[in-house]
Amino acid sequence: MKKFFLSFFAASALGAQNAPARPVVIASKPFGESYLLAEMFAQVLESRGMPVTRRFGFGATEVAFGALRSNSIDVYPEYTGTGLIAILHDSLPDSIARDPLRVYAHVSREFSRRWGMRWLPPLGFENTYAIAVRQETAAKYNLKTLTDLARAGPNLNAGLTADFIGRPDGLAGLRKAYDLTFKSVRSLSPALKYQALAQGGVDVVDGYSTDGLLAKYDLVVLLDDKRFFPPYQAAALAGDRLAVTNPRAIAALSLLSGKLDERTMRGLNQRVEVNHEDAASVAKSALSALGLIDTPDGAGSTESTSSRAGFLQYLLDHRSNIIDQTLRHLLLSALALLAAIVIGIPLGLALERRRHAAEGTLAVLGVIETIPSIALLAFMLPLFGVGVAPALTALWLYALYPVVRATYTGVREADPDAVEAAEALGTTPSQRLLWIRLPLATPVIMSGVRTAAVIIVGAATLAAFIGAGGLGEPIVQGLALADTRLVLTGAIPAAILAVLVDRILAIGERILRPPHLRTKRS
Amino acid sequence: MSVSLDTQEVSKRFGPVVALDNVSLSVPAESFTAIVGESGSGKTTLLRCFNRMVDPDSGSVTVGDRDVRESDPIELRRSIGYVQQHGGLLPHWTVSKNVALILRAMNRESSESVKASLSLVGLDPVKFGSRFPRELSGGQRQRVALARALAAKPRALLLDEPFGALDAVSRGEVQDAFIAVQRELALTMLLVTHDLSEAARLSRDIVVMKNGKIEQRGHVAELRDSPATEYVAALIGSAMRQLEPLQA
Repeated sequence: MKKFFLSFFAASALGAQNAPARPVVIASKPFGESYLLAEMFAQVLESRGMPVTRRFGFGATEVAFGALRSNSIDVYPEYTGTGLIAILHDSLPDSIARDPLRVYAHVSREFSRRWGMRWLPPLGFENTYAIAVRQETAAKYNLKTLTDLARAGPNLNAGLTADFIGRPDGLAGLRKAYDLTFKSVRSLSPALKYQALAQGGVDVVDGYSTDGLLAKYDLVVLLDDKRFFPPYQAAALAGDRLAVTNPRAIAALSLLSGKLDERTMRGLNQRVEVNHEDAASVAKSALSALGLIDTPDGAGSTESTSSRAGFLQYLLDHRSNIIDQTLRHLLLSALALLAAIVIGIPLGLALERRRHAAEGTLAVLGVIETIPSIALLAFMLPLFGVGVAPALTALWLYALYPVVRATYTGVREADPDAVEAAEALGTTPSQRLLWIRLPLATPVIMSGVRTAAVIIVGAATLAAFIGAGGLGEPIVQGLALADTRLVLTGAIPAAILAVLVDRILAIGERILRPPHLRTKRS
Repeated sequence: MSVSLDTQEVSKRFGPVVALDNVSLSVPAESFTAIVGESGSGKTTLLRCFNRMVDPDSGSVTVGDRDVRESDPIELRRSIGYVQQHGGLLPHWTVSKNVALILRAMNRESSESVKASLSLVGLDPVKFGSRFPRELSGGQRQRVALARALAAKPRALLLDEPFGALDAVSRGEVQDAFIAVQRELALTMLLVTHDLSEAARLSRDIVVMKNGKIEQRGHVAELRDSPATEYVAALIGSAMRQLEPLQA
């Protein structure tokens, strides 16, 4: 438990300059291949005696890149084409933009010049965007290329990842290049899109050419006949701190360069995404096959058999992780709630005394409440980097509105007759507040606190997107790997936690209830 | 010791509404005076000038010999009792704690004073002291409100429709309790009511107000025999009619 608390607060201090023995912080984006590559990075370093911290599943390119830029993380797997278009926003002449080597040279130079970051030599495979349709759709509309798709587009519903919809090298560019329109465009999580496609919920999805699931669902990948997508060579992208201070780590990570071809990668992805093998053991067996780590024979196959065992056994096997994540989740939520109470109640009281300012302030807090959690968390990144601090701040902001609103309303509407009589009899404003308004407002304030608590416990699952950990971690990872059991190891404790927290606060509410409202014991 | 309550040419507007229009009223010490008027007549505004719950736009208000503007409002209010229509008891406090409110506010809490006040209004401190307001009848609540107003030994008492929410039977009993207290303590009491017959029952000194002005002042017999305005005549007529059967 002590260790747990230490690591919790150590995490919040990420980004500060630490002693040389500080672990290398390795991150990934929330999809299978990124997890797998990050896990391989981690194991290569660990096998050479370098401590590693894993912060997997960062929400999107912007989040992971932002974290690297602020040195909250040290390295993550990235793709050269993504670096060129989504990060640099550079548009190069086609002769360069279509040439993998020249794209790599360009991003290496620019990332180093602008941010001191280092692109390690490419891993050896390209993972470009793959626009995929079902066999029968391809047959019906005679689709082979994206040019064909542009013809049939107005009849088709697209289900695309949020990342793809938002990126200039994604939907926007594709639309322009091919004059492409769809009947509708829906945003789908990476893990669900293939299932949605297979079941006919959507007709077109974006995928990656190395996705294991393309094969599983027997999908047709349409040819990029105008060569719109730039080359996406996978490589380790290292932040300036790692590049400058840890040449050993850079050398070790470079051992992977050129070692993974597209066929190998697709096979590994399939093991993770289709067979639901554990990413760590797949990484391990791949590394030992490459001769990069020494492991006894047969390592990595254990997990795939246990994946067939019962869910209860699975939970039991993962209990220490689940307990750790639950405690972390609880601590995050409790701190955010406490901060919301400490700030929210006085703020509600202050607003009650300045009612002309009240509605405006409440409206602002209410608007914050409507910001989607993932967006609010993303807003926190430039201010606080990644990890615990931005997550706490975002959760605190969510909790603030119900607490402030309840305090303001509760105090304002507390028995006006009693308040008026007490004033006319000569009590001071603070006496009226402490003796009458606050005690009478307690039930309303407590209901606001309960609402805030349930919101926080729920929203805290998204904190994993910015590396704060908690029960969102298995949810994010499980979604990325299409691993339902992993999702459940986060979702079930989170739901139980929400109910428990609400019940515990209900007891607190009963204790704090003004005496005249308590049911009489006979 | 009881004090007199006086206003000199007091006016008060709330936005465009004239609540008090040049009102001069003198309530002698130890007397029981009733102000009668419909809602909007300015009677409650006038009452609230004496404890500075309302500060007039012009004119002067004196309590005893002292202009209220020279007094700190909180100190002033502690020296003048106040009972309102719905009692305004603190629902989460027991009867004893409610009665001790102002003593507590002044750091002079004493269970003796609380018991004495409750006895004065005819409530047994042992039986009622630990109850919560919601466990009392409407009449008992108004008695507690009176006891609370008396606990800090005020020099005058302002009553804003204290019987308005009571049923006829308990209204009579609570009125009797108020009258008994007034006689026993010889306390200056100023009552505001919309009900002329209630005013006539409780007081020999009736002030009729309308549209922020005093229409007439006197004993109910004077008002009946020589009403100064049509409004007073109508008011008397209406009160008399209530006592007559509809079918003679």
